[in-house]
Amino acid sequence: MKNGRLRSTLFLDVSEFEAALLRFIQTELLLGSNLTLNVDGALFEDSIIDSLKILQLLAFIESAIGRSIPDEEIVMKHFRTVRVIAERFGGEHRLDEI
Amino acid sequence: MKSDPIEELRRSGEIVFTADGALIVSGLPLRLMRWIDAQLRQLGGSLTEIQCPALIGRDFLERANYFESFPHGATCVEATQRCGLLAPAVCYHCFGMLTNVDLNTPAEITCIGKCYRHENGGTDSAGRLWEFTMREFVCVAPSEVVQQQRRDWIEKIRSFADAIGLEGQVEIATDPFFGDASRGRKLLQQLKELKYEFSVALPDGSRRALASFNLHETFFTSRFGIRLFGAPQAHSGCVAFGLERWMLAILAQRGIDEAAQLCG
Repeated sequence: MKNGRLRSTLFLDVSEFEAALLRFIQTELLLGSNLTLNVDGALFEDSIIDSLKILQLLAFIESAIGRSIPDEEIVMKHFRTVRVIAERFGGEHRLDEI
Repeated sequence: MKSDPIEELRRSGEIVFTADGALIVSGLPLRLMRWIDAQLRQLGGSLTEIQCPALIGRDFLERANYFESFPHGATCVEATQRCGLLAPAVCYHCFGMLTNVDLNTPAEITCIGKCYRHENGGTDSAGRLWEFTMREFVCVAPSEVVQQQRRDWIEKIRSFADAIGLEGQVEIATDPFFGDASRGRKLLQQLKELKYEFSVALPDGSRRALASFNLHETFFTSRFGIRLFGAPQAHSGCVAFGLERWMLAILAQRGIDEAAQLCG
């Protein structure tokens, strides 16, 4: 908690975060494309995510985990697929951020 | 106290840093630069070679989104009723030559030429120059071939540096290949590992990049209309070397006598 303010909780566990992340990418980032993504699909091949969409993706993840992600953490081993992102960042979620 | 090899060669007149940020070399530094280039060409194998001019058409740079990516622009030269631009990298000439070409097989080209960059107005004696010589190896091929070529080049340069006793590291580069771009583009480049650099430590503790290993994905092939038979989309990549920086780094790390032994 910062400055006594309560944050809203979006997800209770990694699998819920994973599902929400996949839904966000499919409905917001891939809107208008014919692409279908699954949790193990490579996110950064074939220009699925461009320079604007990566910022939208980061904003979604940061909002969900309640902290900003420093640039040095934004590397392929943490962002390869939806499942990888969820496992890396989803577990950080704290129930006290209500 | 051990003397500074670069200072010694400046005193003998074999290296002259001009006030404009260019380099005049003779004697050992010139032999060393030619030797380095010969070694790099040998590492690249038997390839089509292009000697690139300093002047480059504005249309090539516009097509490559150069002015959008690098707002500080290219170096201009003026003559009576004409003005031209000087190339910031030699691979632009390669893509210019391949404009709207249908390749039957992957293309591998090596090119060399003078390049001009005036970034932040700074030049220094460690090789940040306004005018410098760039040797590049350009590959247009399917994605997996371009990526393999880059991996091969990284290993070749690690081995080459080891063999000549040059201490350096290959790391993901954080400065953007495609320009002084937004955070999104910078992060995307970092995440997709589009640019690696081979850099060395200098006596003053700073680091200087001597080579870059770049994946362009379809950035240039789509803009220049380059197609490859049998591939849904041609990808490209390049490996670039600043010859003056290599020469200065070898002299700084190995000293004059050992550098002279290297290049005979």
